[in-house]
Amino acid sequence: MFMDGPIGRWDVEVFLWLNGQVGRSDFLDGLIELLVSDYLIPATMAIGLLMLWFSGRDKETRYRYQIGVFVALSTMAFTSWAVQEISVVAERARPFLDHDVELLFYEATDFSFPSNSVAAVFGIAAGVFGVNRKLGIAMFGLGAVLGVSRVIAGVHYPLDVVAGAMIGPVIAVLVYQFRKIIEPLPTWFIKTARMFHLA
Amino acid sequence: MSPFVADYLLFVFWACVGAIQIGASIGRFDGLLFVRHNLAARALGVALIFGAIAWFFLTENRNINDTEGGLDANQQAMGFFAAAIAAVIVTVVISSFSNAGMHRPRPGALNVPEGPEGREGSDPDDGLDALRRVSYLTAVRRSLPPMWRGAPGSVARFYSGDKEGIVFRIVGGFISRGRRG
Repeated sequence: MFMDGPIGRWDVEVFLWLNGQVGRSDFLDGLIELLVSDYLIPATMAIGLLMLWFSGRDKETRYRYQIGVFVALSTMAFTSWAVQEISVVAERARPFLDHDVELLFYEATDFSFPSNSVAAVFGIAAGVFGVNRKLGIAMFGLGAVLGVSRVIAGVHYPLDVVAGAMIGPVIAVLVYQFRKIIEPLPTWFIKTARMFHLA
Repeated sequence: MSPFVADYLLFVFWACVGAIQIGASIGRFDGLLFVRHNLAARALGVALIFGAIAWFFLTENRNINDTEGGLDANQQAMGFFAAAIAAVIVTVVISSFSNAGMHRPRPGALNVPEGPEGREGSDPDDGLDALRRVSYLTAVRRSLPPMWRGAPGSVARFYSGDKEGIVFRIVGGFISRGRRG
C-alpha cells in the first residue's frame, strides 16, 4: 500500500520526530495525556452541541442550529462505521507495535488507520460549521489539537490523523444531503421537541 | 455500574447542565435559567463545565482502555445521551421552581384583551420562545392541554406543511395507493 512508499516513510519520520518531544517537559507531557483522552475533546464537542441546540434567538436560527446538531450526531455514527470498514482493509498496526515509542496513552488494540476519534470530531465540527461558522472553526481547532496530541502521544501516525480529518467532513456533507432525502422526519423530530418547549 | 462509568455520567451530567445554562442565556430563554441574570447564568454554566472537567480528569487517571474498564465509543455515546436527558429534566424542574412567579406579556400583546382565564394562552409552536415569558412548567401547562383536547386534528395541523423528501413521497405514494385499493 502507499504506506510502504515515500509517503509512508515521511509519515513515520514525522511521527518519530513528534513523539520524540515526549519527556522534555513534565507539564507538556501531562497536558498531552489530558488532551489525548477519549473523553475530554469528544465530550466537550458533544456538550457544545447541546449548547448550540438551545442558543438560537429566533425560530429560524434555532431550527438551523438544531438541524446542524442532527447532522453532527448522525455524522459521528456514520463516521464510526466508515472508519471500522476502512481500518479492516488498511490493517495498519499501531505505531507502538513497530517502533520504539514513548507512549502517553494506553495500548489501543484496534487498527491505527484512520483515526476514529479524529474522524468523529472533525465530522461533528463539519456539521456545526454548516450552521455556525465561529463554533465550527473552534471545533475544527479542537479536532486539530486532538489529532496532533494523538501523534505526540504515540497512538497514531500523522497520516491516520489526516485521513480521519478528511473522512469526517466528507461524511458530514453526505449526511446533510441524506437529511434532505428523509425529510420531514428530522423536522418532525424538532417539532416534537418544540411542542414540549424544548426546541 | 462501575465507579468509572458513574464518574463519567456525573461529569457529563454537570457539564450538560452548565451547557444548557449558557445556551439558554445566549438564546435569552429566562424561563430555563436558574438565576435570571444573563451574566450570572453564563458564569454558572462555565463554572459547572470547567468544574466537571477538573473533577473528572484531575482526580484520577482517566486514560483507560475499554477492555480494562473504560468505555467504548457506543457506550460513551449512550452514556452521554442518558446524562444529557437527565440534565434537561433536572434543568426544567429546578428552573420551573426558581421561575415560578415569572409572567411577562407576549411582545405586542399589551393591548390585547386577556383570555377567559385572565391570562395569555401559549402556542405549542412557540417552542423555547415561550420560555422568554414564563417558566417551563407554566408554558407546558398552557400549551399542551388545548393541543390534546383538539387532537388528532390539532396534532395533524401542527405537523403539516413541511417539505417532503423523496423517501417520504415514495412511501406516502404507496400508502395512499393502498388506501384507494
